[in-house]
Amino acid sequence: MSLRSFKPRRFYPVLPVLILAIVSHIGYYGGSRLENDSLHHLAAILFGPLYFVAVALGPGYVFTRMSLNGENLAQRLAGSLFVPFVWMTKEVLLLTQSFPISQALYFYFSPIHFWLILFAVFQMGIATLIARLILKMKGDDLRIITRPPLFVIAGSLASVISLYAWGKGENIYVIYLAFYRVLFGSGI
Amino acid sequence: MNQNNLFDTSMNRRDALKTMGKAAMAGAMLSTVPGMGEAALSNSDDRPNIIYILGDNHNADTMEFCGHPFIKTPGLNRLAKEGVHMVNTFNTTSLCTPSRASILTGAYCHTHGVKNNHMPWTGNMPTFLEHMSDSGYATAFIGKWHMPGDGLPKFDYLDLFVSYTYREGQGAYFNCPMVVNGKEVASRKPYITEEVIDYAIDFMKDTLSQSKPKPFCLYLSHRPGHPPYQAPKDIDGMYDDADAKSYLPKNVDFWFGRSRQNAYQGYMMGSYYNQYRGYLETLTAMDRDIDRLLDELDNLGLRDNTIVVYMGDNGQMWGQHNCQSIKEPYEESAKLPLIVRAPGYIDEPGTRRGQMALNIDIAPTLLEMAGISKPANMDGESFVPILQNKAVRGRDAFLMEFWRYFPENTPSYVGVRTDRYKYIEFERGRDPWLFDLMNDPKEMNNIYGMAEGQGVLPQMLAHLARLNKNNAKFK
Repeated sequence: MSLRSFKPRRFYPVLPVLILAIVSHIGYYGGSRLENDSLHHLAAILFGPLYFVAVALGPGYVFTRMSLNGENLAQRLAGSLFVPFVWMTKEVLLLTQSFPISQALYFYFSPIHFWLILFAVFQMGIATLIARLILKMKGDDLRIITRPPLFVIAGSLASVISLYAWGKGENIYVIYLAFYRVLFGSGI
Repeated sequence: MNQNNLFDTSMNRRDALKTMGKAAMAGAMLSTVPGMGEAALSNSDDRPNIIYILGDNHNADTMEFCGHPFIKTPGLNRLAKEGVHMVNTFNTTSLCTPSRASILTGAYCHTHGVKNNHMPWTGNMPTFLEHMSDSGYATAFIGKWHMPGDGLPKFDYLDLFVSYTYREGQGAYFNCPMVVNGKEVASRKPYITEEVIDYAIDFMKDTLSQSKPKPFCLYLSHRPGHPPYQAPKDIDGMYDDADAKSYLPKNVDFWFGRSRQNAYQGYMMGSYYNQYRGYLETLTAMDRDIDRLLDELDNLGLRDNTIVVYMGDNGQMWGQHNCQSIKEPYEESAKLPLIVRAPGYIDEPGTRRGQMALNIDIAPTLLEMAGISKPANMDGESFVPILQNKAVRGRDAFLMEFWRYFPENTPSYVGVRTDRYKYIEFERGRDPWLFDLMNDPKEMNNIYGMAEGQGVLPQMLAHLARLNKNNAKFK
């Protein structure tokens, strides 16, 4: 994607997800400061899941919308991963409260972030099929089921599940920390 | 190296410290026990057996006898009823690996050098088990070692070394591969606490079966209290109906385990309340096996000549101050459960002591109970006088130190706690803390920079300068 071909309007599908993430973030953390216990829990029940939906499930929505708009794969990838990347960056910036920037940057490779990206890739496979189905219903002549999205769905889903199932996520975390020590020693 | 020459220039720091420790130990024993000769050091004797039991991330209030509304800890209740509960016990570095190194060496982290969970055992200082072994004790380390490095260290002085390296030494709750005296073997029992207690009981029986039984010192280190929480089948779900929501702080909610970076600490799955219930279930599983060990001591007739100590490596915050943490310098992280059952040392079993005790006090305390004087390089102090007499004055202050540990978002800090105040300086990202623990026990009002705080600050800085001897903050 060249700089000249970049047109902000192409990324409009990202906006509702980004707004939902910001509103639910404010709603959830603001709610936890409420003195009224019932209101606090109400805010948590409402905004906690919405926040999760925006960050973890937003990529599927964005990828579908951008596929329907005819954007190319690079644009769809960039649009879908934008909100997760913003969220990951927020986490990295938080870590700079305690760590130098070099170590904080390694936090991008946290297993949780890895899991989030894999889950987004899984949704992209599903979104591809949904977009094709919608386009076919609108009269486009195309095949809905092809090998690439099926491979993407199967591979990413298997990775998401196995990464957690393998020692309840503890094993991948151990590997992550082992690489950290290779790079930074004890980090002090 | 000439083992007998203190001034041999080829001697490294650790050997020098060990040699000085041995000299001090032998000198103390010979001077305090009239007529005691060198041979007596290795003979069987009537010194007490010692069992030191370590829990993991065990919050100091999370025991039934402390008034917790639903956890069941009959084993620890029994220990407290027959011993003394030290209610003001703290770690000097609130993190697993450094705290464990401090327990073993009796020294602050800046002395022994193990500063966070990424640093392997330095071996700079001998462990109290080595001093015990040198003085004629049969010694065993059984359970969680939890210091990184290439496998387990070699401790030739141990009669039995049972641990695990699986998952960086965190082990597994079920079917954890064990390493017994350097050899990897399969787990004999499915659940980890059953497995390590079985090894402990075997070690006691084996020691007693010798023709000249030595007193034994057993270090028994548990995994329960550490996520991901898994309890044995008959305990799993035991607290499903418990009202965790009412017990945990009001700021906590269902999603708390996924917010505030708590997901990175293994608290993402399920509700936060269920995570807490799972934590309690693992502690109850550990307690059951501690109870079994106490029964076995009775069966073997060892009860009246065996000191049993239970302690945690660090505390755990469950939502207090919006934290799910073991590292923040709040009381919930720094405070440790400590129970001591010591027949012959305690006149009033079932009582409490309010003097401040520390993780670094364990080594000198157990050495004193074994008739071994404290090596000069230990920072801790024996709390035997406090056990014997509740009126004895305790320490006035101690050093709190912490080095950042990736990826946990707590900056390095150093500070000091007295019986009334706590002062903390952070390396980055936060202003200093100063809390008046008498008027503000929940540490809600930072008085640093306020008029009240200004009056106290000079004395806290003086304590800090005295305790932080090398003044190498955060390095």
